[in-house]
Amino acid sequence: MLHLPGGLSRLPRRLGVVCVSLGVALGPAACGGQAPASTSATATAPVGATAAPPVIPTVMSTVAPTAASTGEPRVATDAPGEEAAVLLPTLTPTAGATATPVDWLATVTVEGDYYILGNPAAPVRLRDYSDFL
Amino acid sequence: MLRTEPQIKADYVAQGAVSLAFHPILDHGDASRLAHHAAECAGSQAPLAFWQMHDLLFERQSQIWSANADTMTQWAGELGLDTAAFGVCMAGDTLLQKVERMDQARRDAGIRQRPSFDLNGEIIAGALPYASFASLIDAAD
Repeated sequence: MLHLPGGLSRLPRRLGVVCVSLGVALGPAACGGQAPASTSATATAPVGATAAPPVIPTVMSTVAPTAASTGEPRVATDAPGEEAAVLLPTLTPTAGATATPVDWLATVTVEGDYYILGNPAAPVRLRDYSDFL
Repeated sequence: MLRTEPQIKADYVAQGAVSLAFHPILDHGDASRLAHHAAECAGSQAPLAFWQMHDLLFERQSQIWSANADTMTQWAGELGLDTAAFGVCMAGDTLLQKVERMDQARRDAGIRQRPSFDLNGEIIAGALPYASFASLIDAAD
């Protein structure tokens, strides 16, 4: 069974990266962005977080809880003459890089009232009407 | 779908061929409400946590009868969820109302048997062996 590492607030910290620009502040889309609330979330990588291949060094670092909990990119420093470091919760490879198979058993998409487990575009949707007892 | 679900997950969901949705049936009063409420509160923190709590609730089915909100909060902690937030959720009624609304919706739709299934719009009443599910899924694909 998959165990979330302390829930959503801790997930970005575990996968937190520091995306260091070369004098150019990177927006959220450049190094992976926040997954929309109404789209799927995975235990290993966020949906929609496509990013350009890193042309700058990236460092796995702990992300501050406040930034991690919001999932929003945070500029770590704004001092004159210093490169702006944008702390982002995730980083995923783009097309052209080695494709990582999707773990459908760890992929859940919110559709209305439902939490859809698996490939949301699967040809078969099976809805289970059941009680836990 | 307690017995067949693990195999359906392994053989179809993992392959991207089937996606699963879970619709609450409240047939056992407060115990049912407690369990379904817990699953929703887990999902409100992280979508995947809904299914993790779903699996945990089925694993500990016999314990649900004597469980309470604190029990569910403890289980949420085992899943790595924010127990403070989970406790607040369980104390509230927003997601409980959602569960009750969904339960009423299935009654209004005439779905009475537990379990029942909707496979691409086809309603199947009652539990089925895995082989039957596999045949239906293969035919629907």
